[in-house]
Amino acid sequence: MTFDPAAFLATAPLVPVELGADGVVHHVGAQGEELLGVDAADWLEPDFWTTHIVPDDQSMVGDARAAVAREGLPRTIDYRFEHPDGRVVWVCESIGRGERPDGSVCLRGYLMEVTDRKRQEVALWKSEERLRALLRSAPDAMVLTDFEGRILDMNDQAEALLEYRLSDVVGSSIDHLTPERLRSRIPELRAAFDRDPRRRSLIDGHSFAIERSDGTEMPVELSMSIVTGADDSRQLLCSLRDLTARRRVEAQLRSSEQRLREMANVVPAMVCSVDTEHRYRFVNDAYAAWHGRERHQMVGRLLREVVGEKLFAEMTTSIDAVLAGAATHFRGEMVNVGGRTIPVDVSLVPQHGEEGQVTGYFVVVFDVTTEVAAREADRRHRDELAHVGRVATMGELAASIAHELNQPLSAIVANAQAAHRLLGAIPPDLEEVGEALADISTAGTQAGVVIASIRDLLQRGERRDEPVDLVFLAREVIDFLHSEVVSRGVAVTIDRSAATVPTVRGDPIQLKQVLLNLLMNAIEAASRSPVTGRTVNVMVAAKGQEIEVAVIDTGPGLPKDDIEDLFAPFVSRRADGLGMGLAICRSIVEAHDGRLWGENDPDGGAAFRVRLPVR
Amino acid sequence: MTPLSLRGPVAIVDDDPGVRKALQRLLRVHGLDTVVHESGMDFLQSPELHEVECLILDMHMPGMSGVEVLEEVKVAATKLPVVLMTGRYEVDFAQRSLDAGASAFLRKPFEESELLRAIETATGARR
Repeated sequence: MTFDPAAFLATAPLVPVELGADGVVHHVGAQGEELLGVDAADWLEPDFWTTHIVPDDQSMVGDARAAVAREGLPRTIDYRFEHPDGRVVWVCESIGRGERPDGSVCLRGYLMEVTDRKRQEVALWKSEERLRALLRSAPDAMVLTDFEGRILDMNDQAEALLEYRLSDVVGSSIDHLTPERLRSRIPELRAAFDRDPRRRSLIDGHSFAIERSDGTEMPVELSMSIVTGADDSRQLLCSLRDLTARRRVEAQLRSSEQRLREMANVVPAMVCSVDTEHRYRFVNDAYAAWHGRERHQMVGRLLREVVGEKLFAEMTTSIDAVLAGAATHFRGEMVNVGGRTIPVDVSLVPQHGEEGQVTGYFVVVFDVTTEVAAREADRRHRDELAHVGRVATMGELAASIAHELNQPLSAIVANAQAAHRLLGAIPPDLEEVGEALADISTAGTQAGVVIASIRDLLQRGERRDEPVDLVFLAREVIDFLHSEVVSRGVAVTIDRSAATVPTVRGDPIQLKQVLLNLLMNAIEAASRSPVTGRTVNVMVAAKGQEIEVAVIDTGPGLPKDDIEDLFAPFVSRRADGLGMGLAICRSIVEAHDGRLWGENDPDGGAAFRVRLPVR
Repeated sequence: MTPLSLRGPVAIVDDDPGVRKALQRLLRVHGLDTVVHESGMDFLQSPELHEVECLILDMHMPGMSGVEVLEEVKVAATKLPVVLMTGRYEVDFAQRSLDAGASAFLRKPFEESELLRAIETATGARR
């Protein structure tokens, strides 16, 4: 079958027309009536166009046709046609110049109803209008570009942000607004969109930067979306949010963190922050300096490596606790790279994340050398005072001590002189000489015991911390005071609650000094009562977790209202007392975590009680 | 050295057994009989109170002190010469001894010559 163009065209929804140069229709296809509802005869009326084209469009149509006739170039024009049923329909006229058989110029072409297409176009146009309206009213700076990045529009906020006027940049590339280093990113982003066109937005909240007209760079948060323009083209709607304000907040945060770090450096402590893997996140200068490193050399390293296995092992319990969320505290010693050891006070404080979970911990290390030294000095002063007290006591006991020594000395001298005589006799009584020498030895040993006691009490040595049996100690003191007891005519007894009494810990000399003082006071007090009732009873008993030594005399008792005054320095109830004894005793007992107090015994005399913790 | 000649024994009263034994040995070497007691009460209650020629008495003993014993001795046997001994430092010991009625005194420790001289002084004996 041969192709018949005329027949084909007759089936198309087209209205063929031929117009004269004056625009009057010479010929119209049969479809004219079917498609536009106008009788064929009406088409040929000279006023056909002026009665059927919407008045607003008539001049445009006239101008276009005149141009085609004049220039010979075909055109397509759209205009509105008034349908006889009252509707306005859109018509697309494609027309070119032709020549009639008589040689006159004519216009030939086709009309096509395009109302549906036009409606879509208008809708599109209106949506673009809406887009532009949105762009105008948006609080953010917005720039609309075509898909190649040429600027189509921008709102006032964008003009203000970029410091450009729309009229200066419209049509130019967005590249002008992008710092050079970031220019290649835009095509990348577009390419990414091409790969995945389902994505609604090209970029969302991307941290970007723009260059303003003065060349300065500004951080922005960039969001880009693809929109369809009125001509169906793809366009880019870019929303720019000034990040300067946010950046400022971030900078403030950073600077507050910086301040925290600076503060951590000012604090007279070693401070570090460690994560749950025990790696340093932060160390202050003091901490780094102590370990002989720079701060940046410490970050990321393991705590264990830096503080050493020994200290780390000591910290285990505390670390477990802090990771469980509890702040902990302990005392220890730290050794630096130079081998120097310092006493330290270590606090571990948990760090919490946003959901309250432990994300790590702070270690705050205080050098307590000074504190320890002060405490040491304090202790030394107390020990010194205790020593002075003992020396004073020895002074008070000088007469008794002399007696204790002079007894064995007398025996020694007498035995020696007797032996001398025995050796000179004829024949010498060697057996008796031997006995005399044995007695000398015994007396010498006896004197040695006294001397040792004196030396013990007068020594100024290191303070000891060892188990002390208070019963044994009390016996030693009573023995030492034998002469004093005898000369004052007092009977001293010792009782204990059980066969064995637990030991306490402390310095035996200082504790002996306490008992010595209490016994001397008691003996002196008892000696003021009638000869027959001069008794001092020492009772050692376990009282819960403490051991009590009570020294009870049969003396006149204590002045009811001023018992505590006796413990003040330079207060004595003895005529010859210095008044330091009880003050020193209490200081010693308290240094041993114990208590010392006085009270009146129900039976009349005074009772002084020492309580020391069992250890 | 000329030995002291006493008609009866010398009593030694001291609570320290070492001292008693040593003094006893020394006096025996010098040919003197001795009796010993560990307390004043012991001595005062013994028949030897009236048999001894001289009493060497320690000042500081449990129970009765030397001075107390001396007072009792004065009551019971006024003629018995007493030598008081002390091992303590007592500045006024000499005066106190004499006030108490002692015939001589000794500060421990002492030489045998001092002991013999004290006994001689107390008893008026001649060597």
